Amino acid sequence: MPFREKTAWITLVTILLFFAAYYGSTLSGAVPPNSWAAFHLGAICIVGFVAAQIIFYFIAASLSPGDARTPRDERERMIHARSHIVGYYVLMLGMAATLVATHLPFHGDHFLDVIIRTVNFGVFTMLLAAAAVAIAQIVMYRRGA
Amino acid sequence: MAKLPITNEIRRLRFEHGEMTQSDLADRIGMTRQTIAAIEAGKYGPSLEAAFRIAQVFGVGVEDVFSWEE
Repeated sequence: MPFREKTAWITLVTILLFFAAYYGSTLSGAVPPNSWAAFHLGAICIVGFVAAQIIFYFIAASLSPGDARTPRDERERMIHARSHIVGYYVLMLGMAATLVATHLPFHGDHFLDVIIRTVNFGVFTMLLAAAAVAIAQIVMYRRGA
Repeated sequence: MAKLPITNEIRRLRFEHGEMTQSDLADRIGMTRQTIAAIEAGKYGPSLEAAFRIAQVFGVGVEDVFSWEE
């Protein structure tokens, strides 16, 4: 597996691993979204996500140092560009959904709840876009072009 | 994925040049082995510059490496 496909897998797996924990806990109600516990869980997930990415990237690069040092060639640049187009559309749709969600009237909502919901939606959209980029890259690497 | 209407003789040319590996060819033109494999399999159409570089490695014209087939 080429180094850059491995990095796409790393991105996808770490997003799923860390943010499924956060969104699973807050959406299921196990951790109330407007609590300090949710804030702490979110912070732990973000730190864990960044740390895991650095560690796995380092491992992947040490397994194939030549690949990691080589700059992207034209096909890899094309895959990079196309995958980010996919991510861009996901991000745009997600941000539109976030705007709608911000204005949805929920009974008993306080201003803080609206802010937390908007931030959660926004972060989720960015993660979804990053996951879409990684999936698009994996698919294109697998298909050969 | 649909195959491109461009065929190539890279595999034959590699073997005619001392059984050159895909990695060797990739190193000589500054590409990855996976890209050479994709070009060889007709899954990726290289840029004009890459096509000329590949032809240059084998010492032939670009038309001896790539051809258009509909």
